[in-house]
Amino acid sequence: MRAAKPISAQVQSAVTDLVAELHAKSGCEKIGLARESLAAILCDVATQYLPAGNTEAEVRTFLLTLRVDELALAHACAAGHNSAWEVFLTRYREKLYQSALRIAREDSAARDLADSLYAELYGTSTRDGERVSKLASFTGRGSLEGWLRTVLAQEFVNRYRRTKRLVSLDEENEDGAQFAAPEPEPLPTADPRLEAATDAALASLSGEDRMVLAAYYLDGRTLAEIARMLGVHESTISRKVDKLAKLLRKKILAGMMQQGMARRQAEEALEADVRDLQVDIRRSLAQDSAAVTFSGKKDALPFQSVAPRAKS
Amino acid sequence: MQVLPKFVQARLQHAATRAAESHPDPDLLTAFVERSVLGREREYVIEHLARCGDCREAVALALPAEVEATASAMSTNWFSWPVLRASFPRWAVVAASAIVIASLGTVQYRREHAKTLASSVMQESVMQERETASIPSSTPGFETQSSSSAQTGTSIAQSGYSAVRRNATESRFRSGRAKKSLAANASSLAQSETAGPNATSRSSELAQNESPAEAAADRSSSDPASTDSASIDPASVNQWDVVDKAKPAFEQAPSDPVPSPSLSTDPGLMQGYGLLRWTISASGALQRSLDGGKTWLEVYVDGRLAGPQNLAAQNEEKAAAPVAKLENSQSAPAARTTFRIVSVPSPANSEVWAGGSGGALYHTVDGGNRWSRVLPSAADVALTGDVIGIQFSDSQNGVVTTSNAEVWVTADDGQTWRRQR
Repeated sequence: MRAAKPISAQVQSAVTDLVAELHAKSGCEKIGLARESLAAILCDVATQYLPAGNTEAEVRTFLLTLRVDELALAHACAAGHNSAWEVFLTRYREKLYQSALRIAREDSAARDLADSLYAELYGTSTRDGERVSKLASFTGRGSLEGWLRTVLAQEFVNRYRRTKRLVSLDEENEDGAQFAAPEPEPLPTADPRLEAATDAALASLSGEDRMVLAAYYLDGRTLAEIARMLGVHESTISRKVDKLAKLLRKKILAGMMQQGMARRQAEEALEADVRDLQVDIRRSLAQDSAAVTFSGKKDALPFQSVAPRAKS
Repeated sequence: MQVLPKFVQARLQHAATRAAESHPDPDLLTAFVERSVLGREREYVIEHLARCGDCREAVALALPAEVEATASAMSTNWFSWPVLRASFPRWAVVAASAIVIASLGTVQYRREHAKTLASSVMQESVMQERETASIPSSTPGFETQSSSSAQTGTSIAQSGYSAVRRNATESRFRSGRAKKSLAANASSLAQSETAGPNATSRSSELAQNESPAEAAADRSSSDPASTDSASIDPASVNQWDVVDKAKPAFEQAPSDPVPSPSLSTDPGLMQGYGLLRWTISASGALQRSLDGGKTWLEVYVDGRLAGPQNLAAQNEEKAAAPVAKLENSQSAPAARTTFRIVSVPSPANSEVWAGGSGGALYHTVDGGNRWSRVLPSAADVALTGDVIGIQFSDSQNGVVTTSNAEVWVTADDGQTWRRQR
């Protein structure tokens, strides 16, 4: 496990309290997971996610929200219990392949993706001479099925990056600058006042609002996809995007006028770049987003040539 | 959709460059999409997603396949726009739109009128619901569909009534959205054909043989799933007549022992649309789409926002002003079931299970028109905690899991339950 933090007394006591019950419920016996192992896993998970200083009651509540049966299954597999693997394969083999197919959208790539995940699940990588299964990192916060899909998706994103000769998620923490896409050309007409007003307006938005904007305008996600990511209506997202775009505009204009620009001047500064709408934003973003996310340089980037997508 | 100036987009992306923190682990991302991450943890994930394009992509790619169910064999697209465009002159489209607007006024009035009646119906059904829910037995109460002819009459009337009402609401929603395009005009024409009787008669004059309204009517009358609406032939009966009959019958509803089907739903409508989909909103409301996910409407499992908390609140109410109180408790978000999961056992039929806070577990066999509360119990224990998982391998065998790690198993479609140890 990744948890390196010491296990607090509250966690220890809550786990001790609940482990018998959870062990019985999660069907650990059938898959060969001892109660002590489950207790250790639960301690690790609780320590990993809960900030220090939680009360025992909070730890209890947290433990009860975990998907203990799936957690137990994953870790029993990681520990190499055959009966657990049987259960795992019956339940997830087909689903895993189907998910891979939906993510990769092409049969051979999907097989490849699923196979490489299987290898990781079985534990091809070794640490200190021991085989490490990726399943050992499953914590039961979400469903095992969902976790498998997420892991597949991350792997897919990584591969996609590699084929584009960009930096992968793994390499992110190392120096990724060597692979970074060429610096995007700066916008020629950047008024510092416009920049300041825009940054201020963006900063005033909530994380969720910025996520919606980024997913829609930068990633080109559909409203339906964003809605499902956030678990809300498509119509809610539709209204939100509309509202946010208008709000941003208003705020930026107000910000520029506060800095002493005349209204007309401010409007012109904003309009200036709306004219070239025909630029293929997806293409330019495919490079830009990678450069932005993974280049080591943080604040030194000039404005990027990012054009809005024409929307009906 | 609004255009975001490209400079603003650039700055939006620039903000992302500051995110050099490590990514949330796949567990957390999964839990986020499954909505089991709350509070500060959720904010952390959202904030990261706002900045990290890779995580956004991974989350989007990992979205589960949509829960999708066809209402019946109705998935074929009987309603094709080209036919509409070809058959109707433009003025007809405009005329039909005008008729829709006119009929809206009438419908709106009727709706207002029905409101007072509706609330008393709701109370009735809530009372009934409470009785069902409070009996701890191994056989959860299932509300059976009525069989007596008088009751059937009521349901016909109700379905006819609400079909008109709903269609009108939808057409208003749609026509408001996209007035400019011809397609939108066609859409409102389409709506008007199922919505208003005036429009129906008018447009059937226009369309000689291939009136979609007739097609719809034929379909719905031939559909075996809806015995209620099948018993009348909408093609030959003026819908307005149905509505007019509906009103008196509707008024009798409070004394009717059959729990009122939720007022915002009706079986007739479902046959008109191919794809039936289910979801749960961020606020925990159960929602249904009859048009494959384009529009969503909240579904009330017992005629109002359902749930044990509601029932409890109802108990405490001194009922000085019943109608006002009802409204109050409806608007109070704390006093309702927060749904967490909806499950469609088999895509081929109209059975749906939904579960949520406070042990709420609801079951429908007709695509969400009538719900029954199910209380899994065995011997002397009953399900407690929030329902967080429902998995049915077929229509008979299912497993329900709760937030406090209880696992309940049924092998007979929810009639009897066994708590797994």
